Amino acid sequence: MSHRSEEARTGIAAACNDLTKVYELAGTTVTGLDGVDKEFPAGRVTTVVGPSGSGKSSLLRILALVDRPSTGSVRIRREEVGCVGIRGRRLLRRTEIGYLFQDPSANLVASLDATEQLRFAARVRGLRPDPAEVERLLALLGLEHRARHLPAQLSGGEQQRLAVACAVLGRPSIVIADEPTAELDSASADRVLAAFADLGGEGVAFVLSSHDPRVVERTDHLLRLDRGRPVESW
Amino acid sequence: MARRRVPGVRRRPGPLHLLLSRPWVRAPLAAAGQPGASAAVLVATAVLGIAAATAPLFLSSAASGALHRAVATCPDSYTPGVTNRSADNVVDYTLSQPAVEYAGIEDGAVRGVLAQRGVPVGERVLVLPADRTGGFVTVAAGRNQASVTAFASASALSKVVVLRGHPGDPGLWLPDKLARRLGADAGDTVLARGRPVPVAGVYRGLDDPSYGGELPVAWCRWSALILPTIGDRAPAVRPLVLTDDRTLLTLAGYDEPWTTWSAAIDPATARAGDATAIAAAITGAGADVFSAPGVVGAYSETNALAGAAARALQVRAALADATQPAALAAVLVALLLVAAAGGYWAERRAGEVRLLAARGIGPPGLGGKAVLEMIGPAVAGTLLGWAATLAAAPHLGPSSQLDDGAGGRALRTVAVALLAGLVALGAVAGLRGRSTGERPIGLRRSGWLLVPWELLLVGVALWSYLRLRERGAVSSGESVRIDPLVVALPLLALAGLTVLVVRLALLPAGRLQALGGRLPVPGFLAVRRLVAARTVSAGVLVAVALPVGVLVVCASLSASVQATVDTKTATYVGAPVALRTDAKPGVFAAAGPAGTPVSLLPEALDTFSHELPVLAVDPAGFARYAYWQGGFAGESLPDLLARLGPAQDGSVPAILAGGGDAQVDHVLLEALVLRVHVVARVTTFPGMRSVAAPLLVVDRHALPALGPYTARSEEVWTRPADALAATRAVESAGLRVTGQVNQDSVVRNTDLFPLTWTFGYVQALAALAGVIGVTALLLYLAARQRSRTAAYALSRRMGLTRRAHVTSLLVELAIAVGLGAAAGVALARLVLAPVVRVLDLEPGRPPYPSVLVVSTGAVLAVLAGAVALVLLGTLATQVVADRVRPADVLRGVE
Repeated sequence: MSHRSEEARTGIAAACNDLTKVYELAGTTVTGLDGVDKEFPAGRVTTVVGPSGSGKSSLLRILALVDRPSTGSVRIRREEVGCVGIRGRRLLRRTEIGYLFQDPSANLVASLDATEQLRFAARVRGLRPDPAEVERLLALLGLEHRARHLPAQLSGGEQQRLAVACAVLGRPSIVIADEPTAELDSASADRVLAAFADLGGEGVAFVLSSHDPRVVERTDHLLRLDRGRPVESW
Repeated sequence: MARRRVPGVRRRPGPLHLLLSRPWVRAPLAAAGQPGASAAVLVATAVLGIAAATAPLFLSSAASGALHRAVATCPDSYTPGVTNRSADNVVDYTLSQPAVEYAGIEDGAVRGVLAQRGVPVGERVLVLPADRTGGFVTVAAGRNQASVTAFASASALSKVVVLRGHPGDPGLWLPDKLARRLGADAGDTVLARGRPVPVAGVYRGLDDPSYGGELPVAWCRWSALILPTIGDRAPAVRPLVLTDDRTLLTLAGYDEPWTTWSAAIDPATARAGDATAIAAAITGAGADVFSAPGVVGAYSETNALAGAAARALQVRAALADATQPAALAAVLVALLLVAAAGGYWAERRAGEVRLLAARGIGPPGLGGKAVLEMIGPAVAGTLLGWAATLAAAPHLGPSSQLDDGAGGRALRTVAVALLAGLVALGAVAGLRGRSTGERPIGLRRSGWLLVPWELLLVGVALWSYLRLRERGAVSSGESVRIDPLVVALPLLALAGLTVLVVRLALLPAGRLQALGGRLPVPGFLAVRRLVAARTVSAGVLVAVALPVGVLVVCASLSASVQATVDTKTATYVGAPVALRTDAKPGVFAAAGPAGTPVSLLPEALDTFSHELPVLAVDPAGFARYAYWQGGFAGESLPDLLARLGPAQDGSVPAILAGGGDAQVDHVLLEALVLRVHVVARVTTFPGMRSVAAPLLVVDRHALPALGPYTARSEEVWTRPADALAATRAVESAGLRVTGQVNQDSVVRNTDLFPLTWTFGYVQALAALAGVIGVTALLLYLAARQRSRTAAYALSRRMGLTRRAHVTSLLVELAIAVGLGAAAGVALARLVLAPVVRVLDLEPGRPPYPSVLVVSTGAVLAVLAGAVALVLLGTLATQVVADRVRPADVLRGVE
């Protein structure tokens, strides 16, 4: 698997500048994001918080290269990606971005066991699966005894931890997680958050959206949005 | 904005990378875990298999059917064979050795040559004397004697009615009239060519009235031996005495009998491919027999089958031209269904598709996965469709005979269709997957979708119509050929107009939504669901309207063609059956109470020396037997006939058919002038043969005494049940019935059958289109089931009653299916009128133009199917919705 330079492990993994997103829905203009500036440092967890409709999901979709901003720029590492074509964005999603859905089971291929999930994640990133790396990640997340288990045989917390491992495999620049603890009990949520912290050392920038106070307590950086505007950022 | 190079990508994962990963490698095994998607793909590809296999199988069946029709009047005369030199009926050879001995050498040589050429040998027939003018075979019993024709073949006795005697006994089989004349019976001994020969039995003569004045088909090949030939110098017909080979050869002495060997093929039931092969193989066999050791004289082939087989292939080519657009359209519609099944796969696999799309897997990867997962059901479905078509084709096609290679050809076509289907399935699955994971919120619809591309189809249809009007829809040549545009025109017009109408219908969707807001809850929900998914609703409307339209158009075209053929042929014949007689000068046909006699004077001339055939009828009984349609005239046939009668002031009252306002005051009958005054004008009249030649109808009793050279055809018009009685009446008047004409024989002789077969085929495709429509609707219901059940579960928590939900489903489906079906029927009616107008099969034959028949059967079937679909769809959807637990929906459990 690839090794990142020291700069990549500690620098700015992604950033957005003066980001706006305007939707035209049923003849009405809705402003989803309005002038958002934020840098997402590598190896750190940044949490986006705010009430429903504040623009969290819009920001995450733009960072995940699923949607495009109306104005402003998005950089992955130091490169502007806002103007990249659809194939290029798809390629970036495979190599530079990890994405976690809220539902733990939605992050895993139902027919693959835990080891195969990681091997498949490596292949998608264009890497040759390294058994040692797979074992290391499973051990790091406390899943070594679940290596041959299918997703249906794992608990929600275990599924989400395994999904985190898949997302960071190959050390993408940024991993985006949409309310990753929303469907977990507190113990499982704690273990998932610990996983983010443990994997911070991999040099991956984590960007989470959450309503969960425990997530906010453990985050390194925070962006609070209200009606699309940043009202708190640190 | 210009697109930039992808920055910072470390390694570009190739497609092989994905194909080798587990989700793709294991994909072919995943079908078992997805019964819904597998069933959808199985059904869709089965329909595709049927659509692709029908054309080659239909054409193979049609080629054999065309052959059978070509030989139907006398199949035996088309059986290829080798005949000895006496067949030329000119030279009477005398053998250097007894015929009994030479026949063995000759038989061995012929069989050897035919076997070498791969021609299976069937029956040998011996006839003595070799021709009517050759030597004599005299049979004598006491002082009575008769000159006869001896006939030997293994199957002869099975083709006659044995009155007395035991088949298998050697000797002579006498026809009953001859037996009576000779005073001989089974068991007696007669002298034949001076030799005592036993009478083995007596059979019913082939000129017996019980055969209805016609030679049985099994003997038609030998009509020259059996029926009298008209003409002053024709030799008198001799009684046909059946016998065995040994007896006949013994009687022959040193005379060579006329000997013919037939190939073991029955042209009436043979496959076109076999007939073509045998006809080709037997060519030149006569020369080979001549060069065989011990054989003397010349031999030739009788090979009328070659011409019939070639004609069958021409018919197949004509049918191929006409049916290919319909077959292609059916395959394309079936491909749409397979593509829809790909969309259904993406819906059923939404979770995994979304995950893979989020990880950057694009449409090719997702589509490839769909293809790999569904390849098992797709192959099975296609094979199932092919096998079902192969099994059904002999029962539904023009003939039950399919060529050996037909199944293989159909399979190759099906394989190509399967490949196209997999591409369509993968493409739609991939694109649906992309929209699941990548479609931005609030994305506007592509501008390309707003362009009314369907107008192109309407334009091409209009061009087809104008072209057909210009050059005609049907051309006559070796066989009737239908312009492919005749089939393409309604399909293109329907496709274009359907999409256009649906597009227009959905334009005021916003207003509909507002209107729905004022409706009770079920109506509100139904309208809301339809308007919210406007594109899906449009797809459903098209999926229902198009097959319905095709079904109604094809069924109506078929019915119209058949009705037109029936009307034209019935008008041409004049009655269900027309008995033709050997009109003799001064003798008129009489029919008694079993028919009505008519005289046709085809060479009568009008004032301007133009042809004006005269039909002389008996007003008393004519209306009972003549074919009549209300559209022929403004009044009834009896009323018209009542105006006919004897001459008044030297002028005969007459009805002018098809002559418009032409002034006619006399007709010239050879040297006679018949003064007439027109008492009625009609557009068409029974017995009218051509639109170009008007017909003058008079009372036959008013005809003057005609000269001996006046061309005249005497017929008796009757019904099938009265034909025998009418035949006897004709014979008692001193005339002989020379043939029967009915609608079937006219259709057969005029080669209209490729037309009826073409539209029969298209009608079968229309039924398939109906299946496609139903499947599409079921796919629609299944695809939306998940969101429906979730919405239902949530709505129930908000107080929605089960009854209101069922009603909303009923309203939604009734709107979608009802509007689709109504649009389909209306558009079909719109398209039919111009198509039928240009589709006159034989414009020269009255009545003109073609008859337009809207198939009420098809419309009722559509109506019944629509009602059943709405009810069943509602029931099925509600049953599934009832099983869902709200808690599961809230937790997002599928």
